[in-house]
Amino acid sequence: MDCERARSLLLEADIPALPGEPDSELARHLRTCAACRHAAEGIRKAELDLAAWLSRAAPRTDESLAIAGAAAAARRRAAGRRVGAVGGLAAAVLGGLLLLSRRPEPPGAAVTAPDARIAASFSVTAPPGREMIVLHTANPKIVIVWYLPSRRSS
Amino acid sequence: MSASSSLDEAATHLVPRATRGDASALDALLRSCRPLVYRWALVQTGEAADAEDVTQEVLIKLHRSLHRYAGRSRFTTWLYRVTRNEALGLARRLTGRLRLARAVTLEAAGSSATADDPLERVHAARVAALADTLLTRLPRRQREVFHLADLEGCSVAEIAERLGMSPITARVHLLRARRTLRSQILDRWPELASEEG
Repeated sequence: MDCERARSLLLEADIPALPGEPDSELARHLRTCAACRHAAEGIRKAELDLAAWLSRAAPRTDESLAIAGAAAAARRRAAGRRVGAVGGLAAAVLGGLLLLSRRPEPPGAAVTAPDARIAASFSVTAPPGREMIVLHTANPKIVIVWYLPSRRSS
Repeated sequence: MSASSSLDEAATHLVPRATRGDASALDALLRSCRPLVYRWALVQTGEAADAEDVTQEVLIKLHRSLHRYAGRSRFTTWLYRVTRNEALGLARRLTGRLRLARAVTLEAAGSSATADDPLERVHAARVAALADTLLTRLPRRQREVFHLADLEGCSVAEIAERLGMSPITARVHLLRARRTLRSQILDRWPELASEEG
């Protein structure tokens, strides 16, 4: 093997494993060629320096602060999820109540005489941490209440 | 013993206790995970500030979702995936933002050099340039595989499992990453290849 071929193999070789492969073509060449052996050692040294640098890399934030912050954030998110679930449930209950409050009417009555009492008397308050959108539809008997996570709390 | 192996060993005691509600075990687990998660995140994001954000999100996830770790794989395999997903999510959210990876990397790598020691400065500059190549020039998959294989000492099979790719693909990424980095080493610092020791 000539040095050009050895340098090419060195670019991809598992250099630390070479001593364990004494019969490989590259290992045999390195035993007899000081220049290529130094190249292999130089590459290995540079990679060890890189590994050492990376092993020293650490977050700048104080460890205790970061861990306490993570615990607090986890609690906040869990609480937000519970509020969201309660808000969704409240919206579902409210929607159900609205539907139940409708009196049975004879077929055709809603078309010929729209009843605006529900929309006019409708009142609902958003739960804490939520925002609310009230959509009045073309049908005055159908009002859509939509709860969203508050943008201020996110 | 590698950092991953140490964490796996610690996790075998801490995870069961933490999932049963032992706050001190969870605290110890988070402290053990944090440095390794940060390094993974740094390699994946290429930027120190992003790595900090990812690390914090992973700690929050551990608080909330540790019970989802079923113990079928090694703890570090699961944790690596959580970290990787967070890093990918952050990258998607930050698409288009100006990146300052090079400056941060150089600052981090050069911080150990003293002004009085020219040899140390040369050494630090070389490490900084290598770190810059690793973090900003290599494609993400290549740097992940190179980091896990040649800097953390993971086997190709383990890397393939962590990254969800075939061992052959992992090996191809590893060889390409080595070729890029080592070509730079031999081209830019020929003295490394000609000095004794």
